[in-house]
Amino acid sequence: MIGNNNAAGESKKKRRDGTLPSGNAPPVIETENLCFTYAADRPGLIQANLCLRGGRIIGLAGPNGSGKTTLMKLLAGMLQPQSGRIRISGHAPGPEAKACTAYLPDRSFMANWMRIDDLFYFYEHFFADFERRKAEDFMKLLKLREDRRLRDMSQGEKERLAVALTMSRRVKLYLLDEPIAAVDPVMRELVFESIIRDVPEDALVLMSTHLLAEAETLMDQVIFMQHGEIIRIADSETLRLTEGQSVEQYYKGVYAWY
Amino acid sequence: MQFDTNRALYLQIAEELRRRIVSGRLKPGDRIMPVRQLAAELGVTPNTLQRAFQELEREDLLYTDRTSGRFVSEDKEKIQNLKRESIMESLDEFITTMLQAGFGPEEILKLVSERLERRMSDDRKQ
Repeated sequence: MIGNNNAAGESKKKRRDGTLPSGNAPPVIETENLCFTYAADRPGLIQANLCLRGGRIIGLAGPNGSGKTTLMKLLAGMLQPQSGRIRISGHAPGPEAKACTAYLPDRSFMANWMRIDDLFYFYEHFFADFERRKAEDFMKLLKLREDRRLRDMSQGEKERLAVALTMSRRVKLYLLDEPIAAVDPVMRELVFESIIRDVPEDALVLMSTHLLAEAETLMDQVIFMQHGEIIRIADSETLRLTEGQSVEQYYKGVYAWY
Repeated sequence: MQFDTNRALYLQIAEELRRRIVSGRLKPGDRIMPVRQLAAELGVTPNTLQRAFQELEREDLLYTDRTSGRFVSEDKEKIQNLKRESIMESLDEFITTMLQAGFGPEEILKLVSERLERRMSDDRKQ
């Protein structure tokens, strides 16, 4: 009896490996032969082809200068592609695409004289989908008082604030470029928790990070980049099942060849 | 939850949930936290947790009611079986240790029943 159950289990397990739900959901990110060059000898992104659906968190991994930030900026509409095509939730780059995208850049975009509640005010007016309530809850969770000025805040506190602002919007696509580089381990866990809890069910989170070991349990899939190219896209759980390797170990193996 | 990231996370979560059922931390009929909330608590994606749930639903240890959520099975026999299975492993380990230490089957049984009797009388005294 038990043997039978296990046998049935095995065959089902095999079929499920590597498949994620919402396979039929419309793609949130689509790119075709997307290219961007900073200078003739400095390609930012080469022939990126992506079709990424919602309902998952995807990591973006690669050494410095591999094109992660360039890809993020192109998807966020902060850079114009030299060739190729981008669609965000079906929209070409422009106001509609931007309205479905919350972008957290790798460098701070906030002016030092501002207070946290000033930023809330700005976000409320810039983004119709900004949920101030959520942002206020975040501040409590992340232990930041709203009358604090940015100039008095540490790098880690600013990062926490930036994540909170970004995640308090209700959009289809969240682009987080190195969101937790300076956040200490305890706060990092809280930031991750809030990312998991607050992302709308059908949304896509694309998150770049150097801290793969810390962030890998948070990633359904990982995109590996090198020299401006997407060299591999892997399902995290499938890697662990079939290779017996963590994403971080796999990463080291991938880049040992380059 | 601390994970061994070299092993599939959903299997580790399934193991943890089984442990909680065996230990009684999750009782028959208990309601399981919503996916998002529990996923956040464990630090994994909702998809990974969903996969662990599917695993336990296939084993009939959890069931989903479309309207009211996900619950621990109320099938006492099923849970009893799970307890038995989980205990077998440590029992086998114990037997191996004893055999390797050179004890024969009868000696093992005698030792076990002696210790058991002593434990029971200690418990009664308390």
